[in-house]
Amino acid sequence: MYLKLPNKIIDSLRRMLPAFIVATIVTFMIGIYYAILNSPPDYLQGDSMRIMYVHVPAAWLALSSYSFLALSCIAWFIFRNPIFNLFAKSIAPIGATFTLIALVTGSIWGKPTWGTWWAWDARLTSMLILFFLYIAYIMTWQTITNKDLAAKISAALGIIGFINIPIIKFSVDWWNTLHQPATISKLSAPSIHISMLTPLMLMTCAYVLFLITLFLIRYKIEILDQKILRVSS
Amino acid sequence: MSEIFYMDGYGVYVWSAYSFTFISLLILFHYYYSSLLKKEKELKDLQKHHE
Repeated sequence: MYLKLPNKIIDSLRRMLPAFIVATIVTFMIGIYYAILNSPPDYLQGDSMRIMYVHVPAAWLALSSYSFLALSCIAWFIFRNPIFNLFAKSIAPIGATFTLIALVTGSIWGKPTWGTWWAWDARLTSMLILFFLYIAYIMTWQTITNKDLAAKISAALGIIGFINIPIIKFSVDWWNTLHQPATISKLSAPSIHISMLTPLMLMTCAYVLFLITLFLIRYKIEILDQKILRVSS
Repeated sequence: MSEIFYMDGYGVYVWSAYSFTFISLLILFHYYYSSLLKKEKELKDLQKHHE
């Protein structure tokens, strides 16, 4: 089953892509300026806390991307529309990269803060499992040649893996971990000063723009694939 | 200027974390963008071939 996108969407994607690339670069530059030069060091952790500005948005988007992947898989099971497969397939490598960034920058931050690069505690281990879930999802599409079967197995994997998301989120509350509990929560006022919240939000915006940019590129690739199929057949 | 790089001894951690982040993002962007250019070229070649 081929993906059908209206010409209006295709045209608007073409126009939006350069704007998103520029917006991503500009937001990252402003975010880095605030993160490195225009925010105070932490009273306890000193300048090592600046790692938070690349670590936390990566972790947030790693979880959000997997939630989006799982929702797309559920939608595919219900509607059997290939567009949901495209959503999940497009977000998987981006989510895997964000997870890897969260793991590596967290490890680098852990060394001066906890005195160790890695600990098998609940938050770190569940994040590592998330990374393997992303890899398993990507590998399913890469290794299974029957696309219908690949769609079914990857969708099932995407949905089952979603169990890990609340485990990651609440791991710091359910178990004793080295990782600090949530600083910014929807239900209460953030326990972070505005001078640190500003660069954190700017960097989060930059990460989101980056994610949307890659998504638009992936969309264009899929549209081109459809055109190539039509021209060559 | 050296303060920005040294950061009271934390510079090596901070800069390596930022470097890893942006190198990873650049590699991912390059992979996606080069795939896009490849597909565009493939389509152009196909259309030329059919003309």
